[in-house]
Parts: sequence; C-alpha cells; structure tokens
Amino acid sequence: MLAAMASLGPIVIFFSIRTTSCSFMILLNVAACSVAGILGLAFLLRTLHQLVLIIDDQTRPVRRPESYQPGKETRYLSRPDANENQDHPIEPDASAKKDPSGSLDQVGNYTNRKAKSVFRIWILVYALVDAQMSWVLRPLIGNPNIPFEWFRERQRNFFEAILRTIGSFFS
Amino acid sequence: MRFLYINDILRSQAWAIQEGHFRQRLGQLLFLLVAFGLTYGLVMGSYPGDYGPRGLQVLYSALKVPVLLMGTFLLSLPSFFVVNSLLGLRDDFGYAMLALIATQPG
Repeated sequence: MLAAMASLGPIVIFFSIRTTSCSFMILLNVAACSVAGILGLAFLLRTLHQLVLIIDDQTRPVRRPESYQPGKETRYLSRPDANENQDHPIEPDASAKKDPSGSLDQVGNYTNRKAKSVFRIWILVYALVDAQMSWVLRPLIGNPNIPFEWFRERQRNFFEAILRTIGSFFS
Repeated sequence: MRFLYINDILRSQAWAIQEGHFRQRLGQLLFLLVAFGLTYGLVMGSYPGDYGPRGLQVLYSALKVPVLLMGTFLLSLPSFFVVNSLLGLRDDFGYAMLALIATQPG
C-alpha cells in the first residue's frame, strides 16, 4: 500500500508546486491515499491467494523432488502449471488422492468463506480506524495560512471534514 | 542488491508470508514500511502554499505517516485476532498477520 502511495508522490509533488488551493491539496491527498488503499486491497487479495496455496500445500502432503528447497521456486499443487515441469514433477500423495467424498475440498471451501469474511471485517475496521487516525494526527498536510502546530485540538471527525472540504473546494 | 526484496513483496512472492525467519522478514517489512511512509510523508508535507516550503511541517508529516499506519494496524489487531478466533481460524493467525504486515509496505 505504501509503495503505491510513494509511487504517486511525484504526481502529488507536481500538483503541490503548481497550486495555491489548500482544499485541492487535501482532496488530492485523500484521492491518492484512496487509490493506494484500493491497490493495497488487490495486493492483499493476491497475498491471501498465496496464503491459501501455502496452507493447501501443507494440508495436502505432496511427494517432493530431491532438489526441492523451501522458499526457492515453490511449485504448488493447485497451480494450473504445477505438473508442467517434467524434470521435477510434484505428485499428490496417495492419501490425498483417495478422497471420494471430496470432503477436503468442502472443508477448504468452508475455511475460505470464513477467511474472506474475516478479511472483509478487517478491511472495514482498518479503513474506519485509519481515517479517524489520520484525523487525530492532523495536520498532515498543514494549512500554510495558519501557524504550524504539532497537533490540532479535538473537533468533528474525518468524514465531516472531507465533506466540508469538498464544499469549500466547489464554492 | 540487498533491497531487491521489495520486488518480491510487490509480486506477492511466497517467502513474504511463509513461516520461518519471522524476525528477519518482519524487520525487512518494517524497514520498507518506514522508508515508504517517510517518502510519502515528505511529499504530503511539502505543500508550500503562498509562503514557500515549511521545513518543520515536512519533517513532521514524514514522521507521522509511518506512525499513522502502524498505529492503525496495532489498534485493529486485537479485533482481528478475536474475529479469527471466533471463526475458528486461530491456527492460521500467524500467516494472516504476516499477509497483513506484507500488505502495509506492498
């Protein structure tokens, strides 16, 4: 998420040099953080997919080639190209193959559903706390028309302030 | 190049979330979090307005961004742990936490 934010830095710098509107800068930074957050979500989903493959790999034992080394070019059973490497094919254990009821898959799907629910809750909680935390730690951008201060006094909340900023930007 | 592991993190390579060498991995992820946080913080605080750049604001914003993300993560973690436990996923909590930590700098 932060790599995405840092990559947007040059664009934000460009606008910050070329504008005198503080409202615009606040909204631009909120937009940059939102874009980075969405990219972070995509990253999290991809990482979770990797996580599921790793756990799946551990719960369904495979016969590994002798050259296998943890962390190096791991080939997972669930990947579509898992058996393409003819030099070192990975074959499922006989015990994993013999699962006529498909109960392992059912357990896996049930766990996946629960994991997705947990991460939906995490995303919601994280977004709300992050928004309010950014409000508590303000000024992050700093209004150049008022003197510098370490922290601002407690008032309103993040969402109300954004609505006000949008209002002042268009007025 | 020692810092090329950012490439691995961005591409969600398995090492970032596999168990083992937890401390080293955590250190690398935290280093990236602070480095990128400082970078964006510098950008955020550099808005000059009408009166030119303000050094103190730039420095303060650079310090605040990593604090913002780490603080949010730590505040949200207990609820995440409880929800994981309630849904019977506590065994995989270590993995899930590494995935979340890897998401911060990635």
